[in-house]
Amino acid sequence: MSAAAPAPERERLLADVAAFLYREAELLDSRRLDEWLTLYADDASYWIPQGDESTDPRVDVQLVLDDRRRLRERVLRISGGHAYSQDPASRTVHLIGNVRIAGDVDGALDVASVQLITEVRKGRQLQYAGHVRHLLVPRDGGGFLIRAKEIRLANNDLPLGNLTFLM
Amino acid sequence: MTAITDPADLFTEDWRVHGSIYTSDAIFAAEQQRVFHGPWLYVAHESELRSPGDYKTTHAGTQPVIVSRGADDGELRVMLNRCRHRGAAVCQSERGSANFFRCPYHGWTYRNSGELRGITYDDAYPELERQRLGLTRLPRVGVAHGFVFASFAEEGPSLEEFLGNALPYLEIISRQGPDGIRLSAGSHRIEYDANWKLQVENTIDNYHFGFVHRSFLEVLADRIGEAPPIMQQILFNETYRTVDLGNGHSVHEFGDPRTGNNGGQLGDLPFNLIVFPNLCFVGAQLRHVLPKSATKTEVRLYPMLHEGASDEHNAAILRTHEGFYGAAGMGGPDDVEVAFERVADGMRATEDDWLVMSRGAHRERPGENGTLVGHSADEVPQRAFYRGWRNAMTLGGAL
Amino acid sequence: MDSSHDGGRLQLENEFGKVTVALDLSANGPRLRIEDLRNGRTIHLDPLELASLTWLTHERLGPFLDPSQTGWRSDEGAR
Repeated sequence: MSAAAPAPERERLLADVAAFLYREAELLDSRRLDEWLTLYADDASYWIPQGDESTDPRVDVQLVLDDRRRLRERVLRISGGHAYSQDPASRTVHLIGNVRIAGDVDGALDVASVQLITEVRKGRQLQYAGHVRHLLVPRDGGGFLIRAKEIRLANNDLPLGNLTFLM
Repeated sequence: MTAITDPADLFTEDWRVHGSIYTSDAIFAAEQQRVFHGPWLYVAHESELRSPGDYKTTHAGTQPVIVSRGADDGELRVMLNRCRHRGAAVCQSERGSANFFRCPYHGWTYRNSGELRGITYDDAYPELERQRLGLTRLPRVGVAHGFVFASFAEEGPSLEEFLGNALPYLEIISRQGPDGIRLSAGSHRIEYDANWKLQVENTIDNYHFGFVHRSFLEVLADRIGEAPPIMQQILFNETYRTVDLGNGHSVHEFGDPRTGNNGGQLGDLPFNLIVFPNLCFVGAQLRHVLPKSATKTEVRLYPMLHEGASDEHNAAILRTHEGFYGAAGMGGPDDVEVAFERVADGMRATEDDWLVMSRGAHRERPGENGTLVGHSADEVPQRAFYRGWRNAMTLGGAL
Repeated sequence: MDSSHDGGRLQLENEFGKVTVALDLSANGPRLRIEDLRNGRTIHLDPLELASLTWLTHERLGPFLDPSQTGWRSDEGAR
């Protein structure tokens, strides 16, 4: 599996990667969050930056920078029935485009996409557009695991309301 | 349902409070004159303006302002962010460094201390009194333990008098890190459709924690393997207490304000503090509440990093802060949902518009320096805030 | 707000101005070349001029910041 593979293999790989992103979006949109969590590797990170490319999580505040443990806690919280900010739950629609394999990072496929996430909740429809990157590693038995997901929202430096649904 | 026009009538002797304080445009307009014009308003922390020429844009109440450090004299000044010519905002950047500002509309140019330095094609203004057309300065600026305040009032209590019993707490906050604190990490920006006072009074409200943040308590229980004792502490730990500090300020102490803690998390302060009218401290964060209208508010949450500590230490403070706060936090958005927006929804039922803010009023007892002390989950901080608010609002007479 | 470094050329920018500063070796001696990227104006400053600038305060530099003296004069037309 490599970004530098011959053309037919590259096309097949790109199709596999895109199918994986669609699958992840389907799990999110249908709120099958426990199943969604199984897509993430044990050392995974889930990052929603605040600010442009120059933001540095070591010194700048972020919207979300979860390790796998906190990501699981997030799912636990939303699923427990007492998270008022997700009661009622957000209904989301992920629209994914511009999928491309940008390269390799430490043995993982670096996958770039753009996503338009429409969220409906409590009489309001909001839209969040962003550049998304996935680092994907092979999963035992086939398919991929997410080692890192980064969702760089276009409005991430504006005043925000409720981003407690998962992206 | 008749509108109350005398601010004194918004409160009863037994601490019932009229809901229109959260919804009335007339009260909001009066607040800007009476609550925000007189006292000292927080505008910056010195760590945001370290070098001569540094500036930031923010709001003093609803008023857009520039806070700058003089290019030559290093003095802090606060001025309205509005060109004296035709009113365009002169500075756009949240933070920057500039010794001169040039308005983008017609090029009027100001020193960063505010004086009008020059005008484009100035021969068309033979009689202009330039020395009177500098950016409008707030007449008083003061610094307390690194926190920069300004006032629209020419005269009034000094900053030290105004802060009063809150001063020692600001000093403790200023010494959290080995070499102090700094606000260099940026801020979370939250926006909600309800009144600004709801955020201030929610900053110290231990009564709500077990209800609104039940999902977060479940996360903590999962993390440590047992139910965290937060509510037991709040209800039964006698060293936890709320204090009306006077002048609208209040604090909740988790034990000794120098050493206490909430059993807590990295970077957490040993207390929550409200500095009247719109500055709050909770967790590791400075919270600046910015009123936009009677029913719209922006809140800025600035994590306070520890000066002199390692990047790893400060990154851990940031991650802990992000876990609870911000639009995607596991705590703060539940406050927005319940304590602000569902309150705003409920407030539309104005046929019976009175609220109850008397929790623990019977057991408030005098403390040191004229303070009033109550239990951890009593509504002492809310009453402290509204004593200050009522004083300011009634001084102006009827609306 | 930003600055970047490109070879010997520095770009400095805030919300009010955008310039490049470069070491210029095209003359018999070294000079500093400043270019205003908004109008293309340039100036070359020699070491003595630069040394003398250190005696300035921002207040004394003020007349150069007066737009009626630097590019927005009715008798010169806009630049």
